[in-house]
Amino acid sequence: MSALLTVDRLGVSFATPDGPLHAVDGISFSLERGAVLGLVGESGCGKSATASALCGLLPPGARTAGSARLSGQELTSLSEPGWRSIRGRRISMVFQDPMSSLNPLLSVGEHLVETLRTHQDLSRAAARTAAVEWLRRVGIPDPEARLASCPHELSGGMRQRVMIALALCPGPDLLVADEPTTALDVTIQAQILDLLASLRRELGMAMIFITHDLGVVERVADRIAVMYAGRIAEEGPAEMILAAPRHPYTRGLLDSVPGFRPRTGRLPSIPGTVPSPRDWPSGCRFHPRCPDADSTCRESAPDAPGSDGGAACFHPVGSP
Amino acid sequence: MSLLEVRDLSVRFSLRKGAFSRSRSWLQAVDGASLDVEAGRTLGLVGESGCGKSTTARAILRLVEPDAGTVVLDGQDVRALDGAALRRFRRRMQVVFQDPMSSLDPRRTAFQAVSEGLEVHGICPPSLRRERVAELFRRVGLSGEHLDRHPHEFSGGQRQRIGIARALAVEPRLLILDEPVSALDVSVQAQVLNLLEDLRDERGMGYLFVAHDMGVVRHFCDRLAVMYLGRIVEEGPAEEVCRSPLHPYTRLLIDSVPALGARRRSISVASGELPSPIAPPSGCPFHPRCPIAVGECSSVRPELEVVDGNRRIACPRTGS
Repeated sequence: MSALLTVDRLGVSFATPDGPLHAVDGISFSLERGAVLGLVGESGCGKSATASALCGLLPPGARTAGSARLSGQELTSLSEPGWRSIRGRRISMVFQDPMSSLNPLLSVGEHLVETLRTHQDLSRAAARTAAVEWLRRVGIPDPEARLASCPHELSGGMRQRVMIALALCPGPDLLVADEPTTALDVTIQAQILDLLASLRRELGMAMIFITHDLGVVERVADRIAVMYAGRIAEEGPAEMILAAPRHPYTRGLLDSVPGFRPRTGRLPSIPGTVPSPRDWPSGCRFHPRCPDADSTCRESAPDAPGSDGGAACFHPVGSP
Repeated sequence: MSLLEVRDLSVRFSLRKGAFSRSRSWLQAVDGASLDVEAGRTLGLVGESGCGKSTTARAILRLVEPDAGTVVLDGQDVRALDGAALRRFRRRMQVVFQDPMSSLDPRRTAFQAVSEGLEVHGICPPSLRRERVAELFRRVGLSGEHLDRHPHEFSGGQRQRIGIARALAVEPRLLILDEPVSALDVSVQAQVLNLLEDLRDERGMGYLFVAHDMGVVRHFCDRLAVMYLGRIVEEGPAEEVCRSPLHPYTRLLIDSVPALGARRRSISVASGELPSPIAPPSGCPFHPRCPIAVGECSSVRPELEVVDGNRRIACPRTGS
């Protein structure tokens, strides 16, 4: 069976006064129908630029390279009218801050009715009934009354539930969720993660879940791709990546998460800081911070993980 | 006697219904909180947004005025001070905020930001200030060449180091850390936590560490106080509170954390959302969300009671 989404050497660059800024530099992965890929990384690694490219939401002036195919259809060459037939119906998205994705002047009901009627041939009354049903599905109490509420009258958790209803009601094959729980309190985050997981199973939808939080990704993902400085450092089944990381960056990241292991002295940390796309190091981009780097790492870039996963590293953890 | 003793601290904010309205309502941000910080130790103050943890910290510093209660630092009643005496006393209690970018003046250099405290408190003669600040910079992991740079030229982790150097310059006895690592990448967060720990052990300062990340507080703190709607509901040794929480709210908080290594553990998430602090529930503030609440929980306000000699909880239904 062929994959739902095949991303092949995808690049994203932004136009700046100082020339193009490469945020994503040739990443490849594929996603099966109904599967969940966790895209993990720190600030500036290119994970959100990847999300924007897959949703056709890059700002004007941004360029893509390589290819991204959804069921065989090329996405990178789509025009805006082309995207309109994909977005919502085939690929939908949920972002970190629902307040900036909702229209403050429209009620929850108006948002949902408009979205439902854009994608389905429904009467206003039927769309309203469907809207109430969607609010119930995403766990909003008293859904009939909530139709009249405006976004500012809802809590952060409730707004994110509305965003999920809006994203899922057109019945997409793929949901791109970019840090959807980062702005929420931890008890609300747990509710939203459970909601996303159960709806995703019910609808048989695939998901790309973007986060910086390794605990969150462990809870949701089947496979994990760890990004560093615009490239994928390591990719593979979630259990393997978390239990036995092969890339020194993945291992360093996992070790530096505090808590949840009884305390054993100092917290291991990765020296240095995350490089900005303006000055990515030569060779393997992690080499200035890597304990195992040698001259090879400084001079040449390791191969990206293959279709079965693996680490982009000359000296993976556990190798002789 | 503890370094810091806070007893029955209360802070309320007045909310007007409209710009010209005379009717007011009150938001009880902190409602009778008591806590102790020992010299050379860290007390973590945790809870979700709106629970009153940051307001408690600000009231101790007298950045907001408490309505009731006492704050005693080093034997001095902080609430009895005002004007010049309060300004002089602030040398003994310093604060590091979450976002150093918004607490550093963008037009002043790092040297100016850090030396201001030395100047205000007349700590070292002008001719020696530069050497003194350079020494502080080295101690927090910055170098002499950073002295004359402006805030925008630093990374998030470096800015937080400047914030720490600025607080240390006046040699405080108590350092209040308000979400000091929440804005940092995981790999940088560990470096800053290790630095803070070394500085505490070196100088014997007491830390009040305000945070929402249970993993960070478990690693970093000696004791924990858990706040819910302005009240402390549980207090005790950090490791014990995280391993075997007694109060039902603490349990919910800890179960909600997507902990590494506890993959897809099912948790009870049918727990609702934080009620409005303007109209808090009667009796125990947690009773509407509590899985073990009984009738009297909605009428009787539970006080913090000592259990197991070393822990305190405000819940008559557990522990005793």
